[in-house]
Amino acid sequence: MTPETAVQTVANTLMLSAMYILVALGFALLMNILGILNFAHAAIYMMGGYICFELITLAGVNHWAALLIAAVSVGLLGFFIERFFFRPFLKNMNNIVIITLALIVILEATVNVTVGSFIRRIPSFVPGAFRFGNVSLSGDRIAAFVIGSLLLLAAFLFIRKTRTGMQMLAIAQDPEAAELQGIHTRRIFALTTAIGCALAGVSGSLMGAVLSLSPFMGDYMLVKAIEIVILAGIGSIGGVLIGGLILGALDASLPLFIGGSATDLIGLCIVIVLLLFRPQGLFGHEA
Amino acid sequence: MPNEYGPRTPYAFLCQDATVEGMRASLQYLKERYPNVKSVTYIIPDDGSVPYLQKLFTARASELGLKVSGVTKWAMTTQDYTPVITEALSSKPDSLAFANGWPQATGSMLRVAREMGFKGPVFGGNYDDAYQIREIAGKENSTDFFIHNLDLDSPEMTPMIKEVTKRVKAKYGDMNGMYIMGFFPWYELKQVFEAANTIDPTAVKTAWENMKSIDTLYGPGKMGGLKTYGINHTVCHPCPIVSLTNGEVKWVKWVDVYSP
Repeated sequence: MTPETAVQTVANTLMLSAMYILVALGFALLMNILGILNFAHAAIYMMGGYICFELITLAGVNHWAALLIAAVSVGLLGFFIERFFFRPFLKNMNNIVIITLALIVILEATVNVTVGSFIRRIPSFVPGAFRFGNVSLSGDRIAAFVIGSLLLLAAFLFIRKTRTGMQMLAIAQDPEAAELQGIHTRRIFALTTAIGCALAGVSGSLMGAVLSLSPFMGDYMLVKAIEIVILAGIGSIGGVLIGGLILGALDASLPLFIGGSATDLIGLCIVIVLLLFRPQGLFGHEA
Repeated sequence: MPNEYGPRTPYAFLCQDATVEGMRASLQYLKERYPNVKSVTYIIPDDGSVPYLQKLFTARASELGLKVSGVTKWAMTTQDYTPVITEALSSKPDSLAFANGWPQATGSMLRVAREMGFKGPVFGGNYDDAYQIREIAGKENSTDFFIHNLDLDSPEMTPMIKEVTKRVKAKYGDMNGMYIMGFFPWYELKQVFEAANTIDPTAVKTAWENMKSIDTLYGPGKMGGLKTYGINHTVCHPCPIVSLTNGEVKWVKWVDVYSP
């Protein structure tokens, strides 16, 4: 590996990690706070991308305004999902899993039928590429890196430093005890779901510009989100950073040495080995 | 792939240009359009075909005096192609060749290659739609790129293609290259059945193997493939090349391709 390739790979690692963290953040929030394995995160992420795309290309809305509207729209969708798809089944998490799988199919099929499966891309938020010495980075990736970092920091501070965030932590520890302490658990559940969905909407919009847009764009990214949350450990939002960096480093560097399908295989094997030594994840708590 | 088409499948015929023929056409055009290009790196999806295609592509590149700087394979689940292109460019090729894949992959790789500063020609050997590739890559990155595909709006299309296009548009209001590809083998089968004067598979097989020429939607064809595939069941015909130049899709030419 030449020094030039090595430096580009380090840059690729940071960019890829930021992209994965951005996608995983909303998923991690629901998993860590509500204990919900929201498989529909993939489809909600996709919806955010398509809403942003239609606003920019059909309605001529400014990119950043479209991003904000997409996030808010998908956040509102989150309130709806929590009320009618999660709340009735909270006592049985197996049902929630089935519901979220059904939601994937419903949302993906809806987009496939209405908009079609023609592969698209959201026009660049930050057009062009920038050179830093021997390293080239596209404007969209830099934007995803900056926004992903800010959102991760914001999520961490929100949960640790605000009253609502503390209430979320209390519910994560013991929902019944939290209710007895006077915490309005339903309201917090709804807010957490909305925030998680809004984060999915932001990541879908940015990834729709960095990568591409299709009704099934979230399927593989969901796998990455699950890997990151498991690596980080249940209950750890900050651990999403480390989990994202590990996965980003693997995916950015393994193709240089192995290439092909073996990169997926080796990457997952490394994650499994890490979990063998630390089953609760890197920052999770022992059961 | 040998288990799909070759001596072990005596009743299989390759009616239309596949990846190998498409890459032959693209390499021939590369030499003609970019005579200063001396090396190429192949980028191939890891779908099990890499060892097979690598051998064929390397042989053809060598025949044309091109050095193969490297072969980069990518996992079918790849979303971000930056590591793939980083690896491909590490061998400092003059050109990049995408063999197989789909528009999302081809467009993404083209975009990443250009964003990483690669200025050389990039080309594909499969039938990806150039308009979709441009959509994914972005107009600003869609230049010095060509691919083996049709441009149905070009006046250079054959009379048969124009006729099929006209009829499909009249009936369905929409048209894309898939309609041509669907029609392609049926048109050839018609000629083969007429030559054999029967639909008995063994007689049809024998008649087809012995045909000196056969008409195709892309122009006159002839049988070949014995050296390349181990069986003389390939209909070789002109292959279409389309380019992306300064963000515009342009018809380039028909390239005569023969798989020996």
